[in-house]
Amino acid sequence: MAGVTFNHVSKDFGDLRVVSDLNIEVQDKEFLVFVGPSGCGKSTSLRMLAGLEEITEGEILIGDRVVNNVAPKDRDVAMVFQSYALYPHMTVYDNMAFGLKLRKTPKKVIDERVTEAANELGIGHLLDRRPRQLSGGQRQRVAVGRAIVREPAVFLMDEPLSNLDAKLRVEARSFISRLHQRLETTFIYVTHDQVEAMTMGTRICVLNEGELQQIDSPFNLYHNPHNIFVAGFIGSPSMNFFDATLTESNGSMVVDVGAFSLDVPESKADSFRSHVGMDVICGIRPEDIHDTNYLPQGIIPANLTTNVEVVEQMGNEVIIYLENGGKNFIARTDPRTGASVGNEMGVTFNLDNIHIFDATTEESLSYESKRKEVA
Amino acid sequence: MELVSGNWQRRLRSAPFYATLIVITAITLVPIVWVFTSALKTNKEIRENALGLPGEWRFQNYVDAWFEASFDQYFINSIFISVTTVLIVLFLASLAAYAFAKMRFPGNQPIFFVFLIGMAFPLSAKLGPLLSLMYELNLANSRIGLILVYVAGSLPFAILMLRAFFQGFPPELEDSAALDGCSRFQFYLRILLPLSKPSLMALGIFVFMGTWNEFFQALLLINEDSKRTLPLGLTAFQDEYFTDFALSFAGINITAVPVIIVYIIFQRNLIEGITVGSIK
Repeated sequence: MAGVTFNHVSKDFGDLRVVSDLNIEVQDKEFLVFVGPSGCGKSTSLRMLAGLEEITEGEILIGDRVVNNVAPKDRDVAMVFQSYALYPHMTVYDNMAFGLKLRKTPKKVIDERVTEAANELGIGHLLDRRPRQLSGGQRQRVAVGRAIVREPAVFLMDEPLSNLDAKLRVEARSFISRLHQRLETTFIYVTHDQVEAMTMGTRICVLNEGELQQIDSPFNLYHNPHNIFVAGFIGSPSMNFFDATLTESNGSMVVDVGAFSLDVPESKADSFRSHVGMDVICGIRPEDIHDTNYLPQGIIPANLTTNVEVVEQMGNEVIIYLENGGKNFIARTDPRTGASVGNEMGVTFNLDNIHIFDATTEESLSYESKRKEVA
Repeated sequence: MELVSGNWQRRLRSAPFYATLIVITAITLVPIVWVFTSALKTNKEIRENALGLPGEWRFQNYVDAWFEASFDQYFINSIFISVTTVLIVLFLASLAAYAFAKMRFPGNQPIFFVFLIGMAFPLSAKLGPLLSLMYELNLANSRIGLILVYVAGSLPFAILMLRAFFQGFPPELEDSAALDGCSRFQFYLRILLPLSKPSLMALGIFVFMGTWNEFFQALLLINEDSKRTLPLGLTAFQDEYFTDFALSFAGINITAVPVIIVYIIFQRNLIEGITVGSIK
């Protein structure tokens, strides 16, 4: 077991920089998730850690050991691939035992480890089968089993659930989380699926265009995003953004969106004061826009009349596409809402959860103060 | 009732298609049947009734051909030369193709094209230099020399074919093997080769058939009767004034049978190897 450190790590493919100055400390036994859109550098970072890609600049440490020039097999890591990468000509047993055989592990030990891992994963009865005779979920378990028997210091997982259907994916998520709890080993997991990231990670590392955007707990990423990218990437449907101007008169601060304006709660005003008179971007999550008829307790309300453009009934909630004065936004409301397409609807913003971002740097104005609050 | 007439209509519609297939099959089969039946005739029958069936089925022609022309020795030579050529080509081509397909090194592309140049020149253009080289190296009139010529001739196509197959090989398997602790050679031996069996089999059959039937280079390089291959052995039945057609046809059949057997046994692998990668 060991922690992992990315120390000013960069990666170039020709002239293209795909990972830029990555600095991350992964604690021992932590479950860290790399998340970001396609091409953000998350898989490349994982592959550099595994030794499958060379590092252009910086160094990677596993425990206290710099592994830049260490062969993949000597890094004490095991990896689960998106395609599972099982050897098609070998049985499940041989797939799981292959790495141990190459390390000249005694046969008795191999038998014990493979049998134990297979039984734990519920694939004990499949040991004589070949990968093509298995379902997607079973293959995924074999791939995980192959990693487990190695007893590595660090588990690496590169989108291991992407090839599963929605139902199996939910099951596999909890299975991997339980595995992490039982093995008490460092897990580093790559996904583009924010639900996987939020539900599995003890911390999440959000990447975009090769740069680290924020590394934080799922709760903090959601409630205190560092910038517009993180705010927009985490949460589904995405946060609503409005170009706005911040004004202050008679001691009260207002976000002027043009079509409508929102009063900034006094508790938040201090964080935004430096930007009074400047262009900002106002963000509010769909779940903080309510049907005026069904308001939760303890919110700071701001009412608005809107036109309903699309209604998506989800059963436990309703996603509504709204318009006001040329501004389009999305609300996620109580399922009892009577919203119907083409009609007007009264909505209430919860100003307690309003986010304001600098229009130039796109960074949150309240990030530092909220971080201090949490600390 | 309607169902029955529907079936007939479908059959009628596909009749021209099946008729065409029957004609093509007949065109393909006629020469084969002709060679087989001619091998059972006397020379007189062949001259007087070339297309007819034999009056008396003379299986003795096969026995005469086998013993009169040292076919046992030619057979052993052909087997030795073809099998050795196939094994060497598969070994060398798979190693070279693996390097060209999977390894990044300076000169990968130019060296690959040097191999391909071999395919660009017709045999007649290569024969002069090839012969003088073989005599220079004292390899003319030797089975080893002939094997070397066949290996060199087969390698460009073999490398081209295997390289294309290896390029389609999932890179994750290589990554996974690297993490499991495989060296490059272990990966080649324990993962790549077993998974390339259909392609290797197909290539092996191509090379075997090409080598088994090759005549021209063997004719120029081999002088001694004891080192001749089967196609050369067929010339034993003809001289300046007389050709023994009956024994020639029997010899042709003896020469062709192993190739047909190899094809029948491995045809599934041949088709798999050709189509591998074409569907997921």
